[in-house]
Amino acid sequence: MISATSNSLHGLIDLEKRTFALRILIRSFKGFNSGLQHEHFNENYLESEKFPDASFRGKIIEQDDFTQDGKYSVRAKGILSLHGVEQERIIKSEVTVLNGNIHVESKFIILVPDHDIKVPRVVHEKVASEILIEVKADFKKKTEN
Amino acid sequence: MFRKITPLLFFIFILAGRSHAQVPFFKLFQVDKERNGIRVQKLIRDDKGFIWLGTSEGLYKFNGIEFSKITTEFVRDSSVTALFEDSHRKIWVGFRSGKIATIENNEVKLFVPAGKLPKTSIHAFLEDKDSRVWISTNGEGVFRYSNGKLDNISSKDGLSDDYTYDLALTADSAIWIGTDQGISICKMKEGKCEFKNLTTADGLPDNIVRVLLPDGNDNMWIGMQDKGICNYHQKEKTFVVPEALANWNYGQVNCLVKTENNLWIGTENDGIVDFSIGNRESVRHFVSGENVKLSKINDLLEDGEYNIWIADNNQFVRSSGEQFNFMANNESNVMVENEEHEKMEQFHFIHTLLKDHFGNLWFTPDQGLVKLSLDAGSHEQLKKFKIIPGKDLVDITALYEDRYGYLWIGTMGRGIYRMNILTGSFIKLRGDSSTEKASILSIAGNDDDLWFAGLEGIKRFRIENGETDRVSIHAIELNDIQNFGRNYVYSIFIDSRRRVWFGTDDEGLIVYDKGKFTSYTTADGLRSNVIYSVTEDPTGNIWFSTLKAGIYMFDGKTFVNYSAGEGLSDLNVYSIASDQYGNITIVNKHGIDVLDPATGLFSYYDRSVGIEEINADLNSITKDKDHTIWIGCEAGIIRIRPSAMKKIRQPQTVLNSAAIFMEQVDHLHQNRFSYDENNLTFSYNGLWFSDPEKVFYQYKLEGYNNTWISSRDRSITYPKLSPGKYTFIVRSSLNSRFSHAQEARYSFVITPPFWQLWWFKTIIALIGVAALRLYVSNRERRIKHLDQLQKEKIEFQFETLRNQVNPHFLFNSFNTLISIIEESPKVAVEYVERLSEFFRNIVMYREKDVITLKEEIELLDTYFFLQKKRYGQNLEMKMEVPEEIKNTRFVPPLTLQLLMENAVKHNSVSKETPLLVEIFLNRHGKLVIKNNTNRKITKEESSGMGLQNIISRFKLLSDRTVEIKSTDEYFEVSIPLLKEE
Repeated sequence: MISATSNSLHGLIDLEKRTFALRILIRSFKGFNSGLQHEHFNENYLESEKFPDASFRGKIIEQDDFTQDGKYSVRAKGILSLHGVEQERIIKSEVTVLNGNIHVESKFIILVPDHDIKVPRVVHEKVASEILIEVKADFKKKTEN
Repeated sequence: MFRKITPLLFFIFILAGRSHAQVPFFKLFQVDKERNGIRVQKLIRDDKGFIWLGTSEGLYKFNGIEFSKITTEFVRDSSVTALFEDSHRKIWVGFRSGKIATIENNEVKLFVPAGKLPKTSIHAFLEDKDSRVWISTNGEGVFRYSNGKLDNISSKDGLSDDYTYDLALTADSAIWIGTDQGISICKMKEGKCEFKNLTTADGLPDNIVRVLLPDGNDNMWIGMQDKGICNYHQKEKTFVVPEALANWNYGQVNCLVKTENNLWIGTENDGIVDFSIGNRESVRHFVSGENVKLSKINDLLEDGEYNIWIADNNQFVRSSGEQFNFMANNESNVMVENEEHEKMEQFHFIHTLLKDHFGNLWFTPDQGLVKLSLDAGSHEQLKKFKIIPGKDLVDITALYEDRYGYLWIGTMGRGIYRMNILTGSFIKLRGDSSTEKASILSIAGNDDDLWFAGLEGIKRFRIENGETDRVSIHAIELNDIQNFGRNYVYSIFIDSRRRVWFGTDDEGLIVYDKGKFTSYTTADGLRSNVIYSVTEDPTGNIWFSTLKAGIYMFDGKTFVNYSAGEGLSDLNVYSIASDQYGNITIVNKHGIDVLDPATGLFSYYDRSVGIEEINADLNSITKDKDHTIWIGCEAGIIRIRPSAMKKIRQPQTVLNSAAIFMEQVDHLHQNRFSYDENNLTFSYNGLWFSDPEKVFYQYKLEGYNNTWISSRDRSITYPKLSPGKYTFIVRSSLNSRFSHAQEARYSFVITPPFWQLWWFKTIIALIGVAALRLYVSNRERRIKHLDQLQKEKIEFQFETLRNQVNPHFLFNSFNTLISIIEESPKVAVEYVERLSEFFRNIVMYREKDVITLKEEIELLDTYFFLQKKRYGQNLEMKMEVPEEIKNTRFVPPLTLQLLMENAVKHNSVSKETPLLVEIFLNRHGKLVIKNNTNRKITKEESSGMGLQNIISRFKLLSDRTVEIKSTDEYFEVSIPLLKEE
């Protein structure tokens, strides 16, 4: 199994409009089993020169009132952009609201072919066609201007 | 005498069924052999019966055999995301790009109405009661098209969300719109939408509503993104989630199709969920079948033949829907579990089966007895029983449930057992050795009356203490049994009037009624004495099947035979069963026929639904109280739902196109052709998606040939049709009987050419009469006129003659003569003779209007001789005129001579520039005098009178004109030849 992590996810949630936008730099992923893997990841598979970031922006389906503390199970519907290919996705997330701060956790799968990510035939067996993504994000309340 | 014995056998082992066991038949189709990775995204069936496929690579039309690509080159992105046919048979095509196309009479058009156009994926179309078309989009709300104008209705207008998935029309003319925020219901008020929104606040389980399917009685099926399926009851205003679907874990719902009793649910990545609606709700889940893997289901469609078509993201599949389902059929084995390990269990050679009143299906594969509990909720339970301890095995050949809920088990050579279904305990019925070793083929009963039949003939018993495990039975003497039932008896059937029918091996059909046996054999007109299976239809007729003579219906008086001529596919029928609609299910070695006695129509089910070479065992058939028919065969069990196929369907006959000289015409609107548009080709289809190769056709062209012509081709060409009225009629059938076949017809007219039309003939006749009158009135005047001309002509001729004898000619002739005299006095004499002949002829002919061509040519020859003497080799003449023509055609005298003279006069004749004069007939019958031209540098004086003279003379004599052609190479005069008046 190959795994990598990044700490540079940035984004915003607008609780009034129930919209959100998240963005992450591909190059910020660290980990992997070897330097070579890391290089392949950036240069061959995700082509981070050409497509430097991945993003997910859209709206929250559920009508929960996030101003109240509590745990909410919601679906985020939006456009997931990766490797320059946009896919409409509905992603389930667990949202915890505490003192106005929001913590979001989510797990979802990205299908490699869906985003036109080409894996060379030689390594086809070694590299899974599904990528499991785990997101943990904390949102701090932003005051108006 | 039998007596009960203590219960001694126990049920041996339980096999817990894991996966569901019944699956439909699946067949894969390749949409386009030339393109890989085509994803079928939308399916519709049009009014004529064709299936349309909206794919990632454009639109296809499918007739069961071929997928024809419909070109939509005006859209760059041809991915089709929505399809719809409106009430005017117009097909609406929605693309991922937001573009819309319409197809009407085979004409594909980009839809460009006035107003704002959508830019995001089209998800659905709908036509409302006022023929307005509604369009749902992915992010722009909905659009409404009416009066040539497109209006956008979005969240600003009260729509719950701009992401809209599906549209539905309810009986109260409301438009339902499934969105990301529930359901918006639009009711039109003064041309505007008045919205009412349904959300989770109203009890909707999930706000993302992906599919809406109106269900007859004011209900709406709702397919959701996360929470599966629910049903909205409009009257009660409640959302109801069916109990069997309460714990939905199949993911997002993409599509729904409803059959008679079932709802098929296509999911985003978990195949198909088949939900039986009704008293006993149950759920089946299909993710695979032979060669088929189902995961992302884009759309589902019922085709009118009870098949369900599946647009999986990777495969296009036809399934047998609810009609035919299979258990343990070849690849799709039943997964069973025993103590140690999972093992695949295949059920072979099922001799007999029975559905008991608890809902269990009992069957007897491979010398075992298996109970399948079908009522155990969503999972079916399998239990396997062994009725003889140890390794000894026995064939179980007959099953019967008595009124006390006990199962009677007849074996091959091991007698009879009775089993308590609830506890699973058995007893064997003891008696004399012949009974204990009896081979039973059939058991039937009525109250406490019990009949056994088998290799030893017929026996009748009375049950005592039937309600307990301590049953006892007493044989009942049958009066005249010695005369009947001595041979094998294959089956016993007790009808609604309590008559007991026996199918025997060589004694025909026997019935026991009011204490008396009667037999029907070949002596009564039957064509076979071997009767396998007996049943009764809902109207009380008895049906039975035979060896090699098909099946019979017996209404108590007469026997009606259904054989090959009636459409039966195999005369050797192993078992029959009737259903609640009166149709007869007929099982043979190769498949199943279903007969509708009311119409005589047959449906055939074989490899098309996956039941080729089924090798069903004799009478291995049972019917349950839900009217489902179960058939045991070599490779497993077939489940037939008559309710899912209640009407016997015939192929739908469609005239696809008419073509003139292979050029397609709009046959819906054009039916008049001109006389030279007389090569017509018709192509047609008998749409039969279950097995299109099975369709037979008959056609005729009334007006050309009034008899039906049988064919298996799907097109016919009529070349060289003469003008007239025609009607082309084609019909299709699944067998050679066409009495109930659907027809498609096309009438047309080939119009005669204008010269054959009455008005033209009339006009010609009128003109003729007028011309005649004109002719008569003019004649006299013309004669006078001609006299005048004649006079002028003679004068003219005379003038010509005078010209001819011109001094140059004489002078030149004399010079020639002088040189010849010196050389050869003999030739000189000839020369002078010819010269005088020439002048004599001129004098002789000048009186005449015309002379024969022969005379003229002789004159020309003389003249040529005279000139040849002067020019020698430098002057040549080539003459090719047939003798016959020379004698029968006429010319004005001196014509040719004059032309020859002109040729010599105007051209230099020398060794360097020889002159060739050719005289021949051209293809118009004119005489051509042609010479090569070498114009004299110093022109001899010429009045041009000679040629003008010829032209004028011909004008007087002929309506055909003299033609003159002059080029740098040659000079050519064509003169018409005159015939004798």
